[in-house]
Amino acid sequence: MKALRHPSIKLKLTLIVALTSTFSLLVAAAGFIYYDLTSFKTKMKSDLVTEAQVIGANCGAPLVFSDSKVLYETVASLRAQHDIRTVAVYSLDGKLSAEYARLGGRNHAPALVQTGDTALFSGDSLKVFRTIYSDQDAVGTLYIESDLSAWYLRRNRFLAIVAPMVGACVLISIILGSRLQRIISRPVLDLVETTRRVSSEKRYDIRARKRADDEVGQLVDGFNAMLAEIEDRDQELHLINDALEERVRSRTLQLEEEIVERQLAQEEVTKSREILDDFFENAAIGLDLLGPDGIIRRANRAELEMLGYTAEEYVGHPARSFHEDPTVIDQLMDRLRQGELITGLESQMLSKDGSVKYVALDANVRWEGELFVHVRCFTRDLTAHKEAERARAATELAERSNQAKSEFLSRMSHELRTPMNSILGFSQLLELDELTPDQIDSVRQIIGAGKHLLRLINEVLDISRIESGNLSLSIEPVEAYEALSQVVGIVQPLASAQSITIHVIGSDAPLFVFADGQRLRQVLLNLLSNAIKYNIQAGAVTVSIVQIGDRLRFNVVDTGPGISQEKAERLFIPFQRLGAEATSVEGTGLGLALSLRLAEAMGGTIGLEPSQRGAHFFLDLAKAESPVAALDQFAAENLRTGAGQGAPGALTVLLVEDNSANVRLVEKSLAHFKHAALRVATTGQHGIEAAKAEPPDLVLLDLNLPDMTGLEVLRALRADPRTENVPIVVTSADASPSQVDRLLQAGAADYLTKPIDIHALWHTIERTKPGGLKKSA
Amino acid sequence: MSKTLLLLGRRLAGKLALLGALAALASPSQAQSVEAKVKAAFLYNFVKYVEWPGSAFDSDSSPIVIGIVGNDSLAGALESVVEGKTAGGRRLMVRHLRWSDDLSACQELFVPAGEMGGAARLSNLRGKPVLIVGEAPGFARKHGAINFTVEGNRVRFEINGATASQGGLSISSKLLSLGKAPS
Repeated sequence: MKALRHPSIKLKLTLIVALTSTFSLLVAAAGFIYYDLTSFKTKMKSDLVTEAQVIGANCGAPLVFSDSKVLYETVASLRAQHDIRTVAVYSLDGKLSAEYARLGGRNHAPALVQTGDTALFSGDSLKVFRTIYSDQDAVGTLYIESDLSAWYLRRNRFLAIVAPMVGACVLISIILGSRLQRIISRPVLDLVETTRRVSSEKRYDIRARKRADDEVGQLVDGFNAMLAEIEDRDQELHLINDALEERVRSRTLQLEEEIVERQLAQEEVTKSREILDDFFENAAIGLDLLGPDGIIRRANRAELEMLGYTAEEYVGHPARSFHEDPTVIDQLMDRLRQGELITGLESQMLSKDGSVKYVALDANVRWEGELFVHVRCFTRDLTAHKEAERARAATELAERSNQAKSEFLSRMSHELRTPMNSILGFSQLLELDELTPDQIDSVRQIIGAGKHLLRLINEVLDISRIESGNLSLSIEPVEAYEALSQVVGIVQPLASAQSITIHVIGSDAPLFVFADGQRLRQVLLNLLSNAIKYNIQAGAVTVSIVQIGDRLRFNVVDTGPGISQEKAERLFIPFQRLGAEATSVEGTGLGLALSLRLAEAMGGTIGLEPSQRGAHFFLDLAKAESPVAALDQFAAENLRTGAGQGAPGALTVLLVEDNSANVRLVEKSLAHFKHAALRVATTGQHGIEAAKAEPPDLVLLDLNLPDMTGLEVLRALRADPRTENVPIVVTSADASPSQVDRLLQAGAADYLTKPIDIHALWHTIERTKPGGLKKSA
Repeated sequence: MSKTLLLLGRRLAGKLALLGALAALASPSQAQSVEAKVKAAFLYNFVKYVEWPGSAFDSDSSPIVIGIVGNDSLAGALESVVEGKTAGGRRLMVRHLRWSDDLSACQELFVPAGEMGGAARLSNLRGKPVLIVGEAPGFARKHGAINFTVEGNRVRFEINGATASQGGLSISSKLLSLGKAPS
């Protein structure tokens, strides 16, 4: 449809060629046919006329001599010509004289309608009338009618020839046209294709193909030139465009950067302003700005909070009105105007609640050239500082006096003990003399008072040590029953004196607590002593050890009057004897206080259990594992004797140690050596004596001994010529590095940490006495 | 001139044809009259198909003379036929002759059947340009060139080509083809 409505140039050209050639052929053929058929008609006519003349000439004589036979033969002589329909002869009076009619059809002669010589085409026939002459006389008329079959035949033949010719010509012209039109159309179509590509692909580097140097070729040239021009301009435009875009891009980038920079700058300004405002507002010291007239223009929160004013109450008012002495500000302004910087100017400001704030003022001026813009004033609140200073001074004073007291007590106790020893010693000697009963009584009084005083001094000394932090404890596993039975042994005479029975409840299985053995015994002694002292006559004291969780509890229950609730609260305060002052029971009033401090120093506690009758004290300490798992029963007494077990010539080791568990451990360790003989001393004094009596090959010295420190023992042994060369290895559970240094400087050969590692012990022995040890076989 | 002649000719021809037709249908008397008329027309028409040599005429203006021997009824009919007629540019003239007259002074000589007594005299005309026409049986073979016969009601004629062309006469082939051979 589209091809027909908008025929392509190819179709158009083909149609033009076909139509033109067909039309011209048709015109030519029609002209030729027309000419031929017309001339054929003329010829037909003239032929027939000639025929008529001949026939007519021949008819004259027969007609005039009325020879109808001959006349008929004459007219019928035309029968050979098949297109002759009718031949007729009419006499002058119109009578039909002879007739020949072709067979078939209505070919009979019509009545004579006309005379004279005429030839005419009428309908599908050619009619000829001819006057028949005899000599010069007209004697009749000859009529010949011929059909046009020859003409039709000729025409049909022409058509039969021409129609296929025209058809063939149309076909050929179409074929030729469709081929030849390419000469025109191809370059045009090329051009069209090129144009299409140019417009669709936006490419201007394409060129149309030139096929011939004709007008289309010129068109192609012109088109290509145009394209080239467009391409040039396009490229130019592209270049300009690119340059422009580049400029726009770079400018945009620049602008964006500038915008970002400005934003950043703005943000920075805003931020720094915020920061500065924030800094100003939240500064830890008071900040305010004063105008040249001394009016407060701005103040920060610290300033307002310090004085308790709102901004309205403070800002806009003269600064001098908030100072107890307004002239301070006047002077400050004067000094600032003269270019001074103010630092640390102390003043007292009035807060809203009427209290006085001690402040230190720093101030300087913002000058803009000669112009005094404002004063930057920094107010530091010294009130708390001043109060703290006062408090610290008071505390320091208190501490100093407390320390002085402790030192005094310590020194005094120490200084007092020496003369007390003399007093007691000589009093006891005096007691042995022959004296009067009164004198004896006096001496006993002296001795009793002396002992009391000595105990008092010791306890005061202990408390002062605890409070001054000078108490050294050796916390290690201690066997609880052993400690308890030792103490029971000590207090047994006292109990017996009052007919008091002591019950010890518990198993024989060894239980260990973390404690300093000596101090544990001291605490237990205090508790048991109290239980006996504050008991009724013939009463009972029940002691037991129970395990509570990971702790062991020593219970001491008496049958005395018990302790009321309000008294219990003051029970552990020093020098509170809870009304016992009035009784005959003697005490220092320091026992329980000291016991509590000792228990706490060992990680435990002492308390009073509510009880129906009597008092029920308990001591809790952390439970410890046995340091020696499978231990042969060892008699503590044997160890404490200090008797040597080693054979003469063997390596002798003197162990100065009060903890039986440790003694057994070392003993076990050394049992592996054939030639090692162990001697044990449980106190420092015993140790020194044993060493001097028979210098051992090696001394293992515990730092914490009941009677003196390990350092004292060490120094004593070093000072004696008999023992000055004996290697001394110090053992301790908790010696500090400085302590170890001091020990090593004092002459200790080595230091071992408790619990003693057997390998370390061997190693130490081997090092201090090379070749001294031989491993038992 | 020619138109008048043409019309005249036509009228005459029409009369002749009418006569021919009448001759076929008329009674014996009438038929005799019609026959005479037809023969008169024939005699006139023969002139048209015969050419005489120039020597047969005294001058160029000399008429063609049709002589009739005796006083036959045909003569009147012939005279009416040829009256005012020409042939080959020459007038036609009918002359009544006797056997004693110079028969060679005419160009066509009709010998009616009643005048056959003097037929011997016709031999004098041998070699002379005279067309001799008779109406007696065997006439064409013995005496002249043409002999009228009647077949049925129709007048026919015999023609002896050899005798006809005596004396330089030229007989038209058309006439020769129409006439029968002499018996």
